[in-house]
Amino acid sequence: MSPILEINNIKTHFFTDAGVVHAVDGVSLSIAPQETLGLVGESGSGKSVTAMSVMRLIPQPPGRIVSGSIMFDGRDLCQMTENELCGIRGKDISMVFQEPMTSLNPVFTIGEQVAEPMRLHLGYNRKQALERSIELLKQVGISAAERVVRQYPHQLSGGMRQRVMIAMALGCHPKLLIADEPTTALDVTIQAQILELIKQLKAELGMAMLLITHDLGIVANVASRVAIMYAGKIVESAETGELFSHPLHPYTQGLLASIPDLTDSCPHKRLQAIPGTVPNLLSPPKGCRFQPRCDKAMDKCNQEPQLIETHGGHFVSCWNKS
Amino acid sequence: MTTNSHEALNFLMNEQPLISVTGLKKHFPVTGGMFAKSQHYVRAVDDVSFDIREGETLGLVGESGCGKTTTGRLILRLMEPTAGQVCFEGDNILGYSPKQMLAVRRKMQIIFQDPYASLNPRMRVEEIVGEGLLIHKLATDRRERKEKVRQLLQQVGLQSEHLYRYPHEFSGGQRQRIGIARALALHPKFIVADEPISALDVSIQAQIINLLQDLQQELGLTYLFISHDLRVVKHISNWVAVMYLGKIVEIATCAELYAHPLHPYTQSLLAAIPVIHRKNNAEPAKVSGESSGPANVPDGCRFYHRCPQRTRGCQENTFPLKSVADKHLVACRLY
Repeated sequence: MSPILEINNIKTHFFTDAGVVHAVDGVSLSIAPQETLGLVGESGSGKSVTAMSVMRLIPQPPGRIVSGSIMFDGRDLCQMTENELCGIRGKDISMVFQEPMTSLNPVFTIGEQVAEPMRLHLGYNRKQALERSIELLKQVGISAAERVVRQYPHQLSGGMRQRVMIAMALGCHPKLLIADEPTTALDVTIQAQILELIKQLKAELGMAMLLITHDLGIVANVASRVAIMYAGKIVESAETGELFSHPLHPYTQGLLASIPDLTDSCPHKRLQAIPGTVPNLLSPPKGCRFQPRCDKAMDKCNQEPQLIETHGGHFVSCWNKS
Repeated sequence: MTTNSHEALNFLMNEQPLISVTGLKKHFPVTGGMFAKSQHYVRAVDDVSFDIREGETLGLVGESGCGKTTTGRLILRLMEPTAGQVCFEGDNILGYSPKQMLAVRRKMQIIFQDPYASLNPRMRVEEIVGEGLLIHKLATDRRERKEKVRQLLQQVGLQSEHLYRYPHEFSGGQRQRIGIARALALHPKFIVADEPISALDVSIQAQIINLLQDLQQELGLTYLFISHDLRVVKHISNWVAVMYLGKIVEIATCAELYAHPLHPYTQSLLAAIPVIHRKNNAEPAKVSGESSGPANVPDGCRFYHRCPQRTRGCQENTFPLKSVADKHLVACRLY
């Protein structure tokens, strides 16, 4: 089955006064229809820029996709005009952002905002769109939907706003949902509810999903495959179970070791922190970008390793494993 | 009822604590307009009591709106409580004059959550970390201050040349180290760490947690560690108190709370944490709905509307913290 999304060697750079920031520097990914891919990384890894590149929402200037292709349903998004892209955003590919307060327009009602994609893409009139909006809000767990459609974003809690964002994203039955840290700004019990909701809706609507997060726990419960990003590149990818039981890249291993584990019996032992900080993407280090922080670094690491399949769908970019 | 629970806690702890909080309340009045007849209150902190022994860490957990940050600030008198007592080394500091508070403030410091907002962008690191040294006369001149700040920076893993830089020149993790250096400058005994790592990346969180633990051992510090992250709290705390809508619903030693969480809210918090390897396949019951917020606190048990084990009686009664096991108190009808 051909993938719904195929990112081929994308490079997104930002041309600033201080120099060129290589935010995404040769990333390739693919997502099959109805599959969930988790894209994991910390600040500055390039995961959000990857998502924004797919949606062609990178501000130009200073940003630009300098090379690569993004195949969605057989068509290259990088070659499309803005008009063509407008027909895809919100309809075939939808996005849910991290901060629902800043993503929702404060001067329009919830109803108007949830209805907008349907009016734009599906040609619904006001009445149809409103009815459908109420249905969608109920579907995302807002039982008082008839009241909420008339409210404004500031009147809702964080969890409610994120549910509204999800309702907006689903209105036109997208084939792919990109969720960029959809629960980071929420309390843990609300986070659990929203994740449950996303899983359920994804199954009902048969969507594919690109889930971006820094939380490995979330990815373990929601994604079937995981890709780990570091300094603009993918360093490891595999099926979820495989990645967590056999992490190969030192960065992945370091991330897993630095999370305090609830199942630890001795609560006060020292965490194995990864020393140092992420590299400056204005001038990324030559060779492997993780080298300065890696406890397994060798001479060969001065040459950049490639992403190679070690076995059964498990890819890693590290000289130690080749 | 408060006294009972505090007595119960005292009994558990058996010695003079460094910090002792009794019946702490903070109610923010919300007027309904100029001619409002009745006053409506946001009951942010509503009758909170606990003790912290010297050298230990009390983890204070809860979600947004539970009152944990407000509690931390009340203890330091960064806000004035509506009622209650805060005893530091046995004396109630709420009755202190400004001059007495100045002396006590040296011993009680705070690390803030937001490493971007908590450092003055117009001050260099030396001034930020050393500000208290001149005020409290721990350094007689600028030269001495610079030397002390240099030592503090080294202690938190930064370098001498960082003295001359401005906050915007540092990463989040580094700024938090600056905040920690600032908190240590006056050689305090007690530090309120208010979500000190929430704004940081996972790998940096681990570095800062290790730093905080090392400093605690080296300097004999006492921490009130406020957080919503139960994984981190488990790692760093000796005791844990769980807050919900202004009240403590459960308090126990760390090992006991995580091994036997009793209050339905604590259980739901633990169940909600996304874990990588789930021990058994059974999905624990997830809690529904959202908290009503501190402005609309319900009568009776505050967790009533979301509790999977509620009964009629829970809506009409409140349940004080009661000792149910060795080093474990919980406020729930079930016990």
